[in-house]
Amino acid sequence: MIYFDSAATTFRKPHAVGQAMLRSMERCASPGRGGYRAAMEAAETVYACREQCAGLFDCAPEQVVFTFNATHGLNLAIKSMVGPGDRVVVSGFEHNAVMRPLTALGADVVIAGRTLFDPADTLENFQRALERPARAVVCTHVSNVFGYALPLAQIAMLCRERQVPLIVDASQSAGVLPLSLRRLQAAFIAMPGHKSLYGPQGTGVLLCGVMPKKTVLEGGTGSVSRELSMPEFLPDRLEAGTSNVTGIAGLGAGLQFVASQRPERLAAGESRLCRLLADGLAQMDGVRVFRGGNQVGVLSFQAAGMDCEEVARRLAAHDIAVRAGLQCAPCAHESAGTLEDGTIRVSFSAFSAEAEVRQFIQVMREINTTIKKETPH
Amino acid sequence: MNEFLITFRSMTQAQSGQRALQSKAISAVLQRTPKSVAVQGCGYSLSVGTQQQLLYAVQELRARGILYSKVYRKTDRGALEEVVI
Repeated sequence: MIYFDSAATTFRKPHAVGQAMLRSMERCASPGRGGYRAAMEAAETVYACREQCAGLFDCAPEQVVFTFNATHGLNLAIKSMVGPGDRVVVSGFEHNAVMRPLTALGADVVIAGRTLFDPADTLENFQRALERPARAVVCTHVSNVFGYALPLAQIAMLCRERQVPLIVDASQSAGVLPLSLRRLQAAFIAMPGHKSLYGPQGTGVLLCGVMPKKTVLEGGTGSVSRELSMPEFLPDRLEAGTSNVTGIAGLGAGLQFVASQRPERLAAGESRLCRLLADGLAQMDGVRVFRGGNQVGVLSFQAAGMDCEEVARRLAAHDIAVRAGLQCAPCAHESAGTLEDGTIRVSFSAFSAEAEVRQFIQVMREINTTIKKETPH
Repeated sequence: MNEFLITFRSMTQAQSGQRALQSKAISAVLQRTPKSVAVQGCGYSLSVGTQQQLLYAVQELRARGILYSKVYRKTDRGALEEVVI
């Protein structure tokens, strides 16, 4: 199989990930719930992963909260500070993991910057939107549909100047772009463990720059048990219930892989494949490619005359995995004018190869030729 | 034989403390805090063997801003007495 759906989840993982998970299942009980060997080994496994996250994302281990995915982390972050009617500024490229919680809360959502691959326009629109007070800014680092890397450092600076808390959705950037909680001074940064951190599904991380005022989930933490409210310290405040130790063990191995490969090297490799694919697709008649200078590891395209899901189906028949449709991001599609037709999204990982891209181009050329023959004049 | 306990509110804080002490070659064993002094319920402690180690340990934790709760000395009969540093 040629797997080009890494923006959803990286399917191929380093071998060490599975090994770490198996070892954890054989040796680890519940962390922070006992002083016996298996409980302490679980605690060590979890803390070692916190340390790795802290090292990669420039924060303290206590600021690392384990979640089940980025959506979980974003919900914890958003619901800790946003209430009904609060004015919240978001980019024009947000995923439903951001838009749905804000809608459920009844927030007054202001969309800033809808022009694809135009950081100056994005920044200008954030500046304008922040001329009025806002409860928070929630912003994706990289669009999950188009791979557009937003000017996050400058948006973070705007937020600091105006003292507006910033929540970052780093779903597509964690592990491939530099990300520092300390430098951004963000309130929260949410990320999945199962994408470019190469952990298993069911893992995620929320980096906390502030102490969350409100909690979403309450329960046992193995600490200050006589208190019937959640602890006022991290990570316990946001980690109710038994941890996903097996998943965290795998995530730890994934993080080791990322650190050994270096994120900037991984990003360069994915960008190279992205350009190669974009060049190949752009030569095909009727194929519209969404590409730009600030693109990271994700590329969308449309084939005139054929439903995007039909293209994905035909690619799947050649054992090529891509994601078609709206990719859970109607906001991004509305910005790009692709809400009605959707796109075919191709996304890479450290395990994607140039030969796979070349084969993809060849198969897509055949599909496109067929489309032209099938389309009535 | 002396034994001193430095108590923490959470496992993670105790682990951060242990790592900090390890980096200064101070041996500290992570363990559950005895119920008699875990006033707020469950907690974790770092155990160090000598008064000298205890002083170095507390100095290091303070220098790194790692929050501990209290310090205790274990008496020969196993009771815990608070130590103010």
